[in-house]
Amino acid sequence: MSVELKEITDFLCRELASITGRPVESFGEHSALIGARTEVASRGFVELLLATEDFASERLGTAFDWASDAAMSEARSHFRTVGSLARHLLDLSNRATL
Amino acid sequence: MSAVVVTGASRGLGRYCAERLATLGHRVIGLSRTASADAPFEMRACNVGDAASVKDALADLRRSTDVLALVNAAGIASMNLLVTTPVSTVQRIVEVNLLGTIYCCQAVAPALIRSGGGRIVNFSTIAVALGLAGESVYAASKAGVEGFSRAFAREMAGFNVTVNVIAPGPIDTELIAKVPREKIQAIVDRQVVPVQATPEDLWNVVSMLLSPEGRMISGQVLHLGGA
Repeated sequence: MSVELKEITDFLCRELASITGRPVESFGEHSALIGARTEVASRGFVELLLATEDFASERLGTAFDWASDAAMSEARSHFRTVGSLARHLLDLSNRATL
Repeated sequence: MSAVVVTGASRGLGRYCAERLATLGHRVIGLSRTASADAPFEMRACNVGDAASVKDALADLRRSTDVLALVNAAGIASMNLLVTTPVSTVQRIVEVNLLGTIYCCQAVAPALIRSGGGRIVNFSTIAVALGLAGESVYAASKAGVEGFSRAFAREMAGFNVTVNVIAPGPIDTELIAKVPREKIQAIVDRQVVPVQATPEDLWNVVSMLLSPEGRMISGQVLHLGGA
């Protein structure tokens, strides 16, 4: 299974657009998912996690753990932005296919 | 019928609730340290005080869209003065009663959200409200369950998931089998309704909370018998 970062980023942006009702073009790799500049409220964030869990399982062939220790740190959390989450998912996917 | 996860399902109040739910036609997934073979519902071995064990036991439910409820009935107690309670016992009571409740809520919540809503019923005790001597660690662990549940109820409200706590007075189960009768009666006498509740009384409240009519009740601690 070959997945590129762009595919994951596009998926996350589409989900954010669906959740928020805003145009998909308004989201990109720098869109914040947590912290003061977040693009989604907590309910929307949970919906994004659910959709991402399905995407990780069905498209990336890996399990996506929402509650890992790394996720708790705002400075290094993979939930910081769309880009950091996309890179984390790609990393999970690559490890799953090793 | 939808699935219901019941912890502490091998005996006591957990077993009672699980059997009643199974009778109603629900798919009951019972958790207990040892999966007893005699249960008339599906049992899975799980140490609820161990996050990894909970995660493993419920992994297949995580993406389910047909889960109605979680009933957290697993609990242990050690009636003793704090000054004579071993640290290992303190840790074990907090692990099972408080952390176990939290871990199971964390594991089942995604399935409840995916199912479009649901119910979580956690168990506390009259020992919290009455501040019973000899139950300080037990009461502390259950007070934690009450605080956790009130806050978690707000986190889940947007997903049509209610979170409530039932805090009963003493009910005859193995948990209090070694407590002298006069001590039990003294606690019952302090209830608003000075009558010892039965497992059926507790089930009636669980059943009400799980029903569609319970949708507006969340973040509450219901004192069975009154405290």
